[in-house]
Amino acid sequence: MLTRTLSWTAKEPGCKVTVANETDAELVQACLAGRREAFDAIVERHQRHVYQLCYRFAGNHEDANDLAQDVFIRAYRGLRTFKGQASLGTWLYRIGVNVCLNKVSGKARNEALDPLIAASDERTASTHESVADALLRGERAAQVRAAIAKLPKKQRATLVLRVYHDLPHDQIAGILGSSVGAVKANFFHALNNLKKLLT
Amino acid sequence: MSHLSSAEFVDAAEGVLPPARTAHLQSCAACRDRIDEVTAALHAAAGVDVPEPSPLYWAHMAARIREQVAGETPREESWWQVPAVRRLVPFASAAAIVAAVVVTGIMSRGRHASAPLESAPVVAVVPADPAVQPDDSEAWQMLTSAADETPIEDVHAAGMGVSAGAVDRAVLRMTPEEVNALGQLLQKELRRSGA
Repeated sequence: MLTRTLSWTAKEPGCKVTVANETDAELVQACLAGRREAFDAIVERHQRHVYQLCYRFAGNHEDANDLAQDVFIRAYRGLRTFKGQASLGTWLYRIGVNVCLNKVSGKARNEALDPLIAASDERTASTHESVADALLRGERAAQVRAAIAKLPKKQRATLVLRVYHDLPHDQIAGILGSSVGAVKANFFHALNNLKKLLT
Repeated sequence: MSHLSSAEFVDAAEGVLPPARTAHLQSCAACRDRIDEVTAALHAAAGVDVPEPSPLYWAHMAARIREQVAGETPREESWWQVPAVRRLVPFASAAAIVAAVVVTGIMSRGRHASAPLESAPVVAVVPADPAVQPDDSEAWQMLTSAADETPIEDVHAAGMGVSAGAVDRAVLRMTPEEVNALGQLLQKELRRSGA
């Protein structure tokens, strides 16, 4: 079942925390008080998830890298507007979705269509997998990415947050400024459209 | 019993459909077929991973962000970012749209002066007052900022559509100076947007 709340582990690569044991809210307060290393800790704690979100929209590492950096820069500049009503992770997702929806262009769609790019990106493939299997998998992944890139913005954002970030519907509703019912309807239509695009 | 709604299809695909509706699902082949399709699409989407960047990438990315924010401090909260003010954004956006329609109407009438509408109000346009610099005002900056950030669909969804005749009534209530100032602002906006 796809339900969990945002409680990211600090044990993964990209999640090394240098300001030990401080909560996100404490890190925000420390940053606003002028402790620059507190923002470093925020970045280190959340960069993997922000990058992955951006990759889902951009479809390639270079653009995902630029988008993720943009998300953190905007977050830093707007840190005073973070009131702690949602978690910092949810707030960063909200910024990320807005940045991605506004900046990702047709370029990402075209790249997502290219099976060679997709195959070369599939670095997680098992070393025992044959080249033919890897290409086939890369081609299928390219088709799915291209289909997702063609979805309407809110459907795409809903699908990405639900399927790849495992967020509960109410949290997605908070990020997208929708109701839970609208999120579920969007998710259903996204899956329906995806099915049509893949057949 | 009625077929499942879109939200219920999602609940069913995620295994959280209430028992009463599960009973319908067990007896309805059409809904089961639909669930199968949704579930297949869900699995297809879920099977696509994000490639893992190099282990060195994370430290590099953090360093790049650190460099980019170096020398900056988090911005002070602007007055329009105060929650109470932000709630007014849809209204401000609607006001900006009304204003745009007003000036478009004024300009259009100016172009078609040879064939005025019988009911068209007569608006006296006075020479521009150089002391009036409306685009410097905070209120105008807030309006243009809000209009830039708010999709027109959201404005309509908020029930902020312009009723018939509202634009004409708004114009009739303006002083010639206000019409003139509004004209200046919106001509500038039209030039900026390339309209």
